[in-house]
Amino acid sequence: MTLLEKMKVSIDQMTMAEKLGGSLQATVMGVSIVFVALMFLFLAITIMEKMLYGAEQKKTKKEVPVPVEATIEEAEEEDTTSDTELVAVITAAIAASLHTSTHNIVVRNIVRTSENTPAWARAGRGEQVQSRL
Amino acid sequence: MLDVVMKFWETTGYANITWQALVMMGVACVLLYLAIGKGFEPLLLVPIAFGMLLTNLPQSGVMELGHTVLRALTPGTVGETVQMLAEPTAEMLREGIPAQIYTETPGGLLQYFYRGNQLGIFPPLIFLGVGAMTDFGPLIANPKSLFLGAAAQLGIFFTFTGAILMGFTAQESSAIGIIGGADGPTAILITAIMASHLLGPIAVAAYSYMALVPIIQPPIMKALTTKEERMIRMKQLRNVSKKEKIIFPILVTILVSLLLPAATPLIGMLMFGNLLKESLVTDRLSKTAQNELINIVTILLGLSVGASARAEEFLQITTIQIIVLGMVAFAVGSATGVILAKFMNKLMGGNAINPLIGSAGVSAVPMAARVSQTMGQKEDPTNFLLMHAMGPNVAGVIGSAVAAGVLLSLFN
Repeated sequence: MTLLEKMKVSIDQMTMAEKLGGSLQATVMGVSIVFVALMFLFLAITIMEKMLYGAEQKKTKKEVPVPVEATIEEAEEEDTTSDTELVAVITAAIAASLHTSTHNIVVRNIVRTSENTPAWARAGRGEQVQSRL
Repeated sequence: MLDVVMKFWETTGYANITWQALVMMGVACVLLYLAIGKGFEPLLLVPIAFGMLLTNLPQSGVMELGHTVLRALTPGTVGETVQMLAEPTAEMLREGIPAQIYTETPGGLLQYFYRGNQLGIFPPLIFLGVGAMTDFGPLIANPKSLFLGAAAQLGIFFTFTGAILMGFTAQESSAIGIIGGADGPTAILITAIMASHLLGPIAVAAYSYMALVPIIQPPIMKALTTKEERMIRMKQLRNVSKKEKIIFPILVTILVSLLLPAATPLIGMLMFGNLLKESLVTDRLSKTAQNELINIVTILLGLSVGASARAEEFLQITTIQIIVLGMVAFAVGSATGVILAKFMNKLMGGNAINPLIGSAGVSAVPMAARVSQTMGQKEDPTNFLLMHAMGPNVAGVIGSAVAAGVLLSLFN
């Protein structure tokens, strides 16, 4: 009867040393099985990534220029908007969110804040919005 | 008249209350205060604490077993049935003995809810909901997180050894060690199967530690890392395609269940829930799993687990031992996660992994990941670790289910 089998059925008859030996054995086995299982998953994910991305990399290379053009267009559009129009739009938005009239708000200065949100946060936010639609 | 009043008085709880029951009611009220007043894991603690309160009210009978009798089918054949029951022959056992089982008084309500735990139904259902709510994206994007999820399970086995040396049986020690996985449903499942008499203290310990993650983990994390390490910024995670997210749960189910069949109920349900979410074609099922179903099961599981904490079984020295061992399990798990993360960081050149995400390898989704994020932001407010910590965090869920499977196959 191995220590582990003994531990399973008759722990009361085991000495302290046997108990310690048995539980160390269980620990080593348990930890290694957990690591092996997760190592399997690690390999599986890595292989999956290679297989899917090996095939998709060519596609993405072709698609890359499209979003770049789109962002440039957007930027240009923003530039062509006249300042007064921008002031009117922002004033109306603030008034609507504060439930007040545009007459109570005076816009003195509009400064564009720099975009410092990391890309993953923006992606996460985008996903959130998409999932609510 | 006085006689009637006296008899009525004897049937009330007031006449039958014991100091143990009062203590337990006090504990229940403290837990309710922590849940409602302090906002610690209210979704779990409120049902558990209330179940505890109900079961310790004397004469309430919510956890009573039903009174079931065996009766002869017809009064005329009573003698015959008695004889047959007394000396059943192989023939009779095959043909059947003419008697029926008749429930005279049904058992307590929570006793029936509790069957769901005893038979191992509720914990996997909770995992179904958890799976439907979990995004494995960060883990797929950074599969190295899996090792952090594995390291954090060391706490389970460390505590297992401690419990054995303190005189618990192997089955009890397994159930106690699992607290270190910081995974309520897993702890309940293992305890219900291997040491159901300890369900009350183990459930209370497991859920209290999950609620206390933001208090227990930070000092351990701070002690084991340097300021520079806490300030490490990690590389942005790549985008994970839908295809990968769909293949992942199927792959995990097959790989883990083949290696460790005992872990199949937990891993299978977790990944099934995730597949419902990621496949995008079973939207209704996924919504049910992550809302109505998990809510219903949480109510039934919480109330009945709380109800298993009856004064006679709870107010014992073993409860204190379990609570202490659970804390050790949890602390060791968090520490080993951080240590392995430090080690991996060194191996990878010293600037790739922020060791703070290692402690998220104990499950407790998503609190443990949030703690990593807050600790990182204390050093550098513009450092975002949350998504990186979600990787080890969900790996921890898989890891603790695997560890549970190991213990089940070794000692059950």
